[in-house]
Amino acid sequence: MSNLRLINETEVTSSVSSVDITDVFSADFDIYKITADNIIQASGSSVSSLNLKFINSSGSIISTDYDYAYLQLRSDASFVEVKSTSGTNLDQALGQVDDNLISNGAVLYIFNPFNSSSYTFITNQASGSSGSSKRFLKGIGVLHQTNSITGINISVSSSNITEGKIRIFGLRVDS
Amino acid sequence: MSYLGTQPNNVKQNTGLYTPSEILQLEKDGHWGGSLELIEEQTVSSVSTVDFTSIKQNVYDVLLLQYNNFVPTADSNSLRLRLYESGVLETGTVYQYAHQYNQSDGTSGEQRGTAESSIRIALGSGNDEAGSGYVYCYNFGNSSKYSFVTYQAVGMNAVNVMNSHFGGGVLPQASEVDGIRLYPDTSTVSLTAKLYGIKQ
Repeated sequence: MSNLRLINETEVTSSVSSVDITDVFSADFDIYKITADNIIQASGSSVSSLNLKFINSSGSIISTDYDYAYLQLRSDASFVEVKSTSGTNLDQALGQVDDNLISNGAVLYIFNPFNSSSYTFITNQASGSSGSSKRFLKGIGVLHQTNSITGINISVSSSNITEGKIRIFGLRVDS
Repeated sequence: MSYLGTQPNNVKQNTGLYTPSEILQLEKDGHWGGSLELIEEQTVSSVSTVDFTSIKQNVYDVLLLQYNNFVPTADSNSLRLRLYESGVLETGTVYQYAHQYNQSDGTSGEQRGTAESSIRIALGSGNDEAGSGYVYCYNFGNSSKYSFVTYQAVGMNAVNVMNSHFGGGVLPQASEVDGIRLYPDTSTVSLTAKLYGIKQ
């Protein structure tokens, strides 16, 4: 039996600007893996970033104290470094989407979210598009608060998303 | 000792340690088992291509391809990836990719292309060293969507300098991808590759 345990599967089936996935992080696991695929928008939509915020154990979405850095790799142009030490979210944590055809894919790892004496760190990689430009992303991020985190909020920077699947796994370590 | 976590959204109820009766119930419900499932493993020596043609793209939305002991017969050969659409290998200059490489001698840089005949998933390796890496594959089974990958690799180049790289690629065609080919720039390659599905 592998140690990758499915905890939550969330499917987007209607037009929404954000998705809350709550009560997924607990003392059961220290490390979580998130996969996202086939996230798309309505036809004719504007390119949008898929940003991530954490939800604390009180159910509040945290909108401060995010640090992040990522390299946006473009197939048609020079790469772009993006970073912040005062973010309101983890920018493009799941990459970008544009229009209804291109979709995207992303894999994130989240470390120590439930631990109230540790910051919550992530590493992420994603693929997607901005118009005809194909964009890939590799990044890191942290919420530099010691809150106990129990969920995530995924928000879209502009046009809504209409489809997509997000799965959260725990990495089980048996002693 | 039995231990079960309490997670309201734990749809598969599969955390913790289990009693035999809990295992039997999970098996009955179809929820027992890990979420990373091996589809196929190949270990090859001195071959020109490695094909995965039963990739279960309709079962798994996300696939993970891991490889190790990547050794090209000739120095400075990259490992490349092509995709099959409905059983036909796409060899046209239709792929796009972009990746960053970093070497232990301080060299780094960008590599990219918008009209490529393959996706270059590992940089040129020496023929005495073994490279390793992984590729995540998204939306291969969806015939109305493009097929994306993200990847990361590490190895040694022909002058014994460590190189690593990370990036992504796409077959920007709305098609169902039902096969994966790995191959070197020239000559032959030896490696072990494992294709997994991320269980849904």
